[in-house]
Formats: sequence, C-alpha cells, structure tokens
Amino acid sequence: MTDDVTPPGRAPADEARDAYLRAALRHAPDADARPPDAVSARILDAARASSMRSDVSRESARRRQGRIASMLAGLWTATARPSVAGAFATVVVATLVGVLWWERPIDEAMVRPPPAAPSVPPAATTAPPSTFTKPPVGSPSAETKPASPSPPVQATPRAGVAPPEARAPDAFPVAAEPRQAPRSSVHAPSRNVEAAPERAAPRVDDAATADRRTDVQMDRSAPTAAGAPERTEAEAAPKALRKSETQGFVGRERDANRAAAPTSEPRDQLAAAPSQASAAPGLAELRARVQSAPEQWTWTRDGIDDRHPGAALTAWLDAAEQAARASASATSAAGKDAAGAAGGEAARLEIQLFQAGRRRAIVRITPAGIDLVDETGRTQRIPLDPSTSAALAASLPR
Amino acid sequence: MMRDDVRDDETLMLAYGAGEVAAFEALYARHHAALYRFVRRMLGPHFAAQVDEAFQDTWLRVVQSAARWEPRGATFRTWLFTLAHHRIIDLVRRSGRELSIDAVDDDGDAAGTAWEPQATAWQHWPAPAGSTLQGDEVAFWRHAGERLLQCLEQLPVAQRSAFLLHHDDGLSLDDVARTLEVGFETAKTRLRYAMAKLRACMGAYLAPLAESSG
Repeated sequence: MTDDVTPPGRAPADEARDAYLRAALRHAPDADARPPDAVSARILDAARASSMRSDVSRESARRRQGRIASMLAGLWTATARPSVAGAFATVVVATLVGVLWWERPIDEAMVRPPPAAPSVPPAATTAPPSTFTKPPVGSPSAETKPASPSPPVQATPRAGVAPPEARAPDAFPVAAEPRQAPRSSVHAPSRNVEAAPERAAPRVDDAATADRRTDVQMDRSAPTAAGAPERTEAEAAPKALRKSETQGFVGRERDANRAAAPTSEPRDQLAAAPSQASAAPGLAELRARVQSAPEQWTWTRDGIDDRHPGAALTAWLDAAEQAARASASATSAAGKDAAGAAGGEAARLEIQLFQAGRRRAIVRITPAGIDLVDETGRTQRIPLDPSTSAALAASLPR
Repeated sequence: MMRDDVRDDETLMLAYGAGEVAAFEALYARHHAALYRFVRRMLGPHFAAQVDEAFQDTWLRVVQSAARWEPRGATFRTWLFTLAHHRIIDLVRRSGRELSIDAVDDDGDAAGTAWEPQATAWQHWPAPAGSTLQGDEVAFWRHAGERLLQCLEQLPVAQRSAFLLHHDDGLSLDDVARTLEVGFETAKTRLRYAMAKLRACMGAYLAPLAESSG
C-alpha cells in the first residue's frame, strides 16, 4: 500500500492520501472538465449586477446620510440665530411650564380679580360741582390746562383706568367740561343744565365729539327733556306714551341727562347704579301720562286703597316735581348732605301707580328724598332735605 | 475574464463584498474548475443534468452572501465547498434516491473496525508518482481513472464527498470535517471506509490489466 504519499507541509494529524487513487483521479476522463461558458457568463453577470445594485444602494445610503447630515447642520446653524433660538427657547419654556402645571389646580391667588364694580358710590356720582376736589398740584392735567374763567374744571382719568385710591368715594374726582353747561342749556331746560355737572365729564379729547352727540340727543329727547315744561301735557303725553313702551321713566330720564351732560362713565355703570340725578322729568312724564288717561290708571297708597287717580294725586305729583326741581338747584348749592343721608331709611310714603293692572311706577318718599322706580325696576333718587320730604309725604290727602 | 490576483481568497471575497467585481472574477478563476469537478463527480452520471444547475447555484449563493460575508475561522474554499455540498444533498434528496449520511450505517459495519482490502493485484500496479508516463502507463491510468469514477458511484454520498474533498481538492481532514459539518473522527472514518472500498474496487478491476502490462 502507498499510504505514505503525504505532501510536505501537511499536518501530521491529516490522513495520508493514497497515491494510486490520486493518480487515478488525475487521469480520470473528467479531470479537465470545465463549466460551460454560458454558465460562467451567467455567474459573472450576476456578480456584476449584484455589485452594481450594491453600489447604487450604497450611494443612495451615502446620499441619504449626507442629506441627514446637511439637515442637521442647517438646523444647528439656524438655532444659532437669535430669533430662532428665542422662539425655540420660548417653546421649550412654554412646554416645560405646561408640563409642570399639567392637571394641577390653579392657584386661586393668581386668578385675576374681577373688574371693578361699575357702580359708583352714590355720593361720588351725585356730588355737586362744589364738592369737586382740586387736582393735585403738579398733576399733568392741572399743569396743561389753561386758565379759564369758567368754574374750576378737573380733568379726571377714565373710570376704567382710575387707580384704586382715585375710586374712593370721597376722592373720586369728577370733571365737567366747562363748555358743556352753556351748550346744553341752549337746548335743554335749566334742570338739565343743573344735572350736567353731576355727571362725570368726558375726557378733554372727546369734548368735541361729546358736544355733537349731545346736540343730536337733545334734539331727539326734546319732547321729554327740553320741551316738556313749555308744551302742554296733552302734546307731550302721546310721545311719552310711545316711548314708555320700551323704556321706563328712569331710563328716559337717564337718556335726557346723558344727552345734556355727556359722561365719561361707561353705560353699564350708569345702568347698574341707581340714578341720583334729578327726577323731575320722570315725575313730569308720569304726571302727564296719568293725566292723559286717568281712567286707565289706578294707584295705591302704602299698598292699600286701590283707586283711580284724581286731581289730588295729580297735584301731589306736580308738587313732587317742583320739589325735585328745587332740590336739584339747592343741592348744587348746598352740598351733598342730603344725598349722603339718603338710603337705608324707612319710607314715609309709598305710592304705586298701575296702568291696566300693570304697575308702572313707584314713588317712594323717604327722609332722604324721593325714589322713583319705573316699571323696569330702575330707581331714580332725588335727594330732599328731611323737612321737605316730610312735608311732601304729608301733603298727599288720604 | 480571468485575472491573476495575488490576494488570498478571504481578501478577495471581502473586496467583492465592498463592490469590487474584479475580486469575484479572480475568485471564480481560482476555484471554478475544482468546484465544477467536485460537483460533477459527486452527482455522477445519474445527476449529470443537474451539474450546471448545482454549480451555478453555488456561485450565486456566494454572490448573494458577499455583502455580509465574514471569515469565521474557515477558509473561503472550505465555505465554497460547503455550499456546493449542501446543494448536492438537496438535489439528491429531491430526486427521491436513498441517501444515508452516516457512512458506518451504509456498510452495516461496526464503527472502528476498518475494512481491509484483499486485492493482491494492487501490488502489480505501476508506480503512480511518475511524472513522465510512457504510452502504456498513460493508457493504464486512464483506464484506472475511468474505473475509479465507476467505483465512486458505488460509494455512499457521505464517503464520496469525504474522499473527493480529501484526495481531489486537497483539503485537510479538518477542513473536510468542517466542510461536511461533521466531527473530525466522523470525517476520518468516512474517509477510511471510502478509501478501502475504492482500493478493493480498483484492485479487482485493474489486476488483469496490470498483469498483462507487467
């Protein structure tokens, strides 16, 4: 046997090869067999195609990585810009704050307090011009205002922006545009002229606009505000009745006063607070309506004695109207003591007037004055001195 | 197509995985003949029609695996012949022919008892190592080669692959075991059984020829 035919360099552990068998294999007919050329070509073509696909995929992957890298670089560059960095920081902070406060109750101490009550203390709104406080020395409005022969005018900040201390009742500065009173007096009766200073004056900038609005409104409200005293009650009654379909006595009175003296107070502020201006137009209108169709009206005194109005009630309403007029002029001269005493006292007399079974007005005499409540519930208060109030309450016969 | 390349097989395969087609061409030129011969002898005349298919599939597996190929302790040649062996096993199994991987069971012999040739004609064979063969010697070895191919067909596939890988392709017994994915001793046993059977088969056939030529 020839098991010793081991090529040099082979590992000793390798099994020896049979030289005879190897020689037979070398001389076998298929020793020189080669794959067909077609097979070799297919294999090599497949290898080339696979390599090309790999190249394409590698190139695309390289491009994709390049795009991602360029995007990241661009993003990094963009974040270096202050505006982008600021926006990004804002978003981050907002997100952080939002996450920190997520589903946590809001601290009640941080809730913004509701806006200041629109109602103004009665004493402030009914304060006559004589109670106005002088502007503080050195204040911008006082320094920039030129000297005027008219009564001292106080420019006041608007109610919405007034500082808290300025909204205190006794320190509430109300300014009246000096030219409002004479201008309104051309169209309005004297009681409106007297009512004008009681309102907060418009801002100086709005003075001209307010003047024009006053003119128009006064023309519209002429039957009730300006023309009522001069005209007969028969002429005034139909218009007043038509207007009463939608407005109460107090609302119309407020319109008249607003037309006569534009105010800087917001409209809702006026609506919320009981009116403390002169109620003479309301009383006059009420009297005119009662006189125009007395058969439709009934009235009660202190809740009893339902009856139709007669001459006695008409005369009493006329007296109340006169007292209100007098009180308005007297209040402007005497101060606001009566107004300050108003409220909180028991009524000496209460008259309720009904038209077709529906209550249209309440006239309540209190030691502080007259409270006129219209059908909508709005109250208008006319301050009277206690003696006048007592006399008026006693003048209505039972 | 063929190009000489001094790089080893593993480097060429890595280069092809990186996209170098020339590396694959060099590998193909280096191993295509031996692999084709191995596939052809393994399949024999019964599966001659599938030789090209098995050969091509083996190389296509190489192409497909190139991108993720890594040398893991085995040479490229070992891996290449492993792929071919798998493909051959698949073909034989698909054909429905009996295929026993265990060489010991093929002969019914107990493991460890080597089969001993009894042919006395071996001793009359001419020397196989002669580099320059005479006319009669060339004819003798050509007949011997034909006879060996016939004897190979009688071997089980496992023993045939072990013998061809070891004697024809020059793999070491370790590489044979690695290629066949068996243990070293199993590969050694398969090889010894294959050699003994082939010697017996060849000695009986070539004895008259050797006596006549001697």
